[in-house]
Amino acid sequence: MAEKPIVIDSVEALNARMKQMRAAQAVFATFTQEQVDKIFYEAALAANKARIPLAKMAVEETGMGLVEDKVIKNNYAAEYIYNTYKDTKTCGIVEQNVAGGLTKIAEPIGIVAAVIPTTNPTSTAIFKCLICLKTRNAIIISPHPRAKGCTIEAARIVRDAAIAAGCPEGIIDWVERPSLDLTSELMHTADIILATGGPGMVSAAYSSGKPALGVGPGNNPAIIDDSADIKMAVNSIMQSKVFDYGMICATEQNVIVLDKVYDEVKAEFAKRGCFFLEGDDIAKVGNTVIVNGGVNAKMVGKPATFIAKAAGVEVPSSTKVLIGEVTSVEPSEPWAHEKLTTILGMYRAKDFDDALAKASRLVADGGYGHTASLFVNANDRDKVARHADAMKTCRILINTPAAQGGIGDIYNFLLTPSLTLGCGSWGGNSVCGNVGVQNLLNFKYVAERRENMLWFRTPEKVFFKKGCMPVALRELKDVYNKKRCFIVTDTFLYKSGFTKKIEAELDELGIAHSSFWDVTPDPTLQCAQQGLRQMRSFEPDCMIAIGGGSAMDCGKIMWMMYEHPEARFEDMAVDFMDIRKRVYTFPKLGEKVFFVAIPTSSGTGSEVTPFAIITDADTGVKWPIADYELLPNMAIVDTDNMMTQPKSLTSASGVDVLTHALESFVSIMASDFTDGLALRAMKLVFDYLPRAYDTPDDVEARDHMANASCLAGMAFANAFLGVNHSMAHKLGAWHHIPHGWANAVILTRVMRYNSAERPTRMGTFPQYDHPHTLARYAEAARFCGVTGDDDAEVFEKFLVKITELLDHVGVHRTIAEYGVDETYFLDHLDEMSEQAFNDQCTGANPRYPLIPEIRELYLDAYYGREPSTYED
Amino acid sequence: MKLSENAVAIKRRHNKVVYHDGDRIVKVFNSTKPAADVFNEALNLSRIQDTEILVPKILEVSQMGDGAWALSTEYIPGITLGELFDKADEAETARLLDIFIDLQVKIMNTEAPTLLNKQRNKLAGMIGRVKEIDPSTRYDLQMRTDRMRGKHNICHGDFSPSNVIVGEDGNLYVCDWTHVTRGLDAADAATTYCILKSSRPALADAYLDAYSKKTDTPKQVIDYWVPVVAAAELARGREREHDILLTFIEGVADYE
Repeated sequence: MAEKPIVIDSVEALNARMKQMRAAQAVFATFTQEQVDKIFYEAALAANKARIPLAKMAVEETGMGLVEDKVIKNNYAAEYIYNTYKDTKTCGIVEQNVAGGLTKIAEPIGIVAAVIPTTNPTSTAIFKCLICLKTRNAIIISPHPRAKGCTIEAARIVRDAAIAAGCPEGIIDWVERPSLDLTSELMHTADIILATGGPGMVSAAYSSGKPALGVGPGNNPAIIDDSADIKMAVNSIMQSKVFDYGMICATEQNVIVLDKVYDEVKAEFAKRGCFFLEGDDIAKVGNTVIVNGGVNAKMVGKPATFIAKAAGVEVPSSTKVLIGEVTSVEPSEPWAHEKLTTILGMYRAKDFDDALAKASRLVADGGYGHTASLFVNANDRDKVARHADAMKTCRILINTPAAQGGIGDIYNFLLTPSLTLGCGSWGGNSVCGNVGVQNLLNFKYVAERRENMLWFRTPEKVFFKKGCMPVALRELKDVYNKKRCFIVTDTFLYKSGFTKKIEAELDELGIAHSSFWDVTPDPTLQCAQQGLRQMRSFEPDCMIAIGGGSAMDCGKIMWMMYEHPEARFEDMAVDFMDIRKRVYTFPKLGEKVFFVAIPTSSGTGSEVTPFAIITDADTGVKWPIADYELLPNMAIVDTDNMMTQPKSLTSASGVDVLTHALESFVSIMASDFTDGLALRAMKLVFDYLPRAYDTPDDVEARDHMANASCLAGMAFANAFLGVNHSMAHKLGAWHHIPHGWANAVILTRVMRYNSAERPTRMGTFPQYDHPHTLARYAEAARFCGVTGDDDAEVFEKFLVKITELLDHVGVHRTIAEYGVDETYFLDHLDEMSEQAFNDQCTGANPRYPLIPEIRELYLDAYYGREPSTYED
Repeated sequence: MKLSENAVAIKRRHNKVVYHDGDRIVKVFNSTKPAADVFNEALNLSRIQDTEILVPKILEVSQMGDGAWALSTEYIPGITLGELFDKADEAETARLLDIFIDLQVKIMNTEAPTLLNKQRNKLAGMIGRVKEIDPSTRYDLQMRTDRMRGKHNICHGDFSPSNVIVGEDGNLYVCDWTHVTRGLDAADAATTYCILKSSRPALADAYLDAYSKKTDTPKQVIDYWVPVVAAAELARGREREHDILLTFIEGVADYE
């Protein structure tokens, strides 16, 4: 048998009743949306039917307001709230994105402590009970002592209807005899507080230590601009001001009228039943309504004639609103305050700015965060915007009666209907909108693991095969109709006649050309700027960068500077975690100039990558620039351009290719699309690098190495690299070891480090779900012909195979052997390690490196120490 | 404790007689005064005398022959600010008001002993006892006290010119610490304003004006507390102040 409900008339009774209600709410929390919606419907309907008796009770008990207006408020609280939330999902799954893996589940909060004000004692009670029912929360109401009878009756009507519709007993209840002790105990024991009331009450709610939705007082200043429709403006304010005798907190408390229309506004107010006070009567009324800086309770929600009589002022019996024309907006002026009754302050503003200044001050006088009104020609968007900008209020109403407009859904159908209006942090509240069901729910966000979308990007055209260059270049005319071509290369290649072949072809095609051939190794910004000047005077519509990585990188930078002189390298070079989410957005490239990259060494892959590095010679700062905008439009891989590479270049660039292939293969971003390219590239290196090194004119070997370089370039253009490159970049920067060899000298050690099955930290990317780099290396090794019983054995044999290759092409085994001074190396080791950690390549490494680990790797590689397992 | 033959009654109130007895001042309470109140006053005073504020030091709490409690403190030779105000001309009044407010602000800015009673609790409790105020108004006023939370100024609670002694040594001593609490300075200023309004009406508004300017506190902030402290003052049952205190509470309510 159900327990008998306990009447809450003491702290002990409250605590006992809370227990009963918690049990009831636990049952209610299991109700389905359908059950809840039925209860919500029946409860709203019952409240709706009781709108008149409740209105009568409220006026009778509080002595404030007008029955007919309170009827509207009660009706609104039932009908508008029901209509707005009837289809809102508040139980269980409310939103689900299956593809994205996000499910939003709504759950009730528990017991809501609701404080109800005297000004809206029945409508606010209906409102709060209904939104609690809709959200499966229990509610305990603390009515105001001055309005407890009608507030409790409103709650009783909603409760009884809810129970009849299947709601458990113990979901709606109230404090029978409100007191300080009971109210504070209630606030301390409830799960959330929904406080509508004066500053003291709201403060008590917030300081209870429980989550609180408290809302505060307003002091709405209404500006009537000289562009406004005066009749509409004045009558809107009148309609709002007289409503329930001015007790809605959003109501206009003062009106600020532009000088130009002041007399017209005044005449309209007078015509509609306002009485303009004169002389001492202004102060008399002001001091009657505002006492000791606060509103006089006896004057709240009273007819204008009542107030006039109390102040000893004679007015016609038809008077609807008393208007005091005042000048001071300071709080020392009683009229500047919130008055909550049928008196209205009126100010004259010399212009719109003056009006905004006055309105801002009035808002600061006690209405921070609440509501501000503007009557204006709505086409004057500038004034609407300036007003919105100046008002520190959460509701800004344009051409709207504020009492009816502020509560939403009557004069604007997107403003949520509510009888609890949040004032944001300006008003010391935790909510800034109109409070609704969403504020009374806990949402669970169930986020399931998903993998990022990946991509594969490459130049629009990649031409290859020995002798392809002249054929490919014809497209500049035949397909792209280019007229002026700018060639970028280095001095050596220029003098060796590499550009001659291009120039001859361009001449034949009738394309004008100009060459810049001063690109230095590790190209500088200054060098690019020099070329840029030449480029600007030539005004090309296409450019060809021919050479090693330096010429192509410099070409890309010049391309960027030519098309977008405003872009800043320090912004473009900022490190990113995910290239798609980076802060800086790269400008679009290729709109003026078509970019062709032609490699002359088989190493960097720059012809198909979105990367370039440029050094500022003045500051020594290296800017690594990465973005797919830097991807060339066309790459031409012609082995004829590679036949004369010296042995050292063949070696260094060849092992660079191997490192590109290996690092992109084990990158956390590696995909089926890049794996094929990387595997093929590394196999080609094993098979053909020794031949190309031993026999420089071996066309077949050169051909395959050229392709390997380009394939590996495409792999790492999309899967990126790893800590091997990070460390090699710093070896190059600090100790001038050629890039390819800097990679090779640490390669096997880094591979062993990456292959650890128990790394200190693993890389972070959804598809990299456990440390499995050892298996990946073994997969690569098997593809390259290595066999063994298990991954570990295959891996060890792979390292031997790599070491044999490196030995074959003359790579030293230690950093020391590259002539790096020990003292200098050790002195800068810490700085170098940190820089390597911070290198853009580090992010894609399968093992997230710690700086001391990088330091150990450097030391091992410097001295040629026996490798450790690199596990913790 | 026994009074000596030289003891002279210098003040008689409805619940106590104050004697000057040689080098001590003895407050003899009537027999209905609860011991807890007397010890509380002694405890307050002993806590305050540990701060930098100069006070007549506590000497003894004991019972008189008839069982009534008495509290004796040092006698400070000097004259009260109240007496000085009584004979001051306009310029002198302004000077004394300056001294009076500076002293109050100094007290407020002294670090409060952590064990002092909380102003919020004390005032809410006092308001609760004033049954002649309409219960709904009482509820609103009690709710307002929540906004005192978190403030830790020393609030004398009865800071008036008659409780300040200008010692012969030139120092200012503050007596009667019965109502001292830790709390909000603006509310204590409102208390002083209420006391002055009934005891020295001519001085009250000048005080409010000068205090507001000196401490850069808007008068509205002090005004907000006037009904609250006035209601609490009513709990003391002082007939002389009764009517004026009631006017401060007239029409008070807390609205959204």
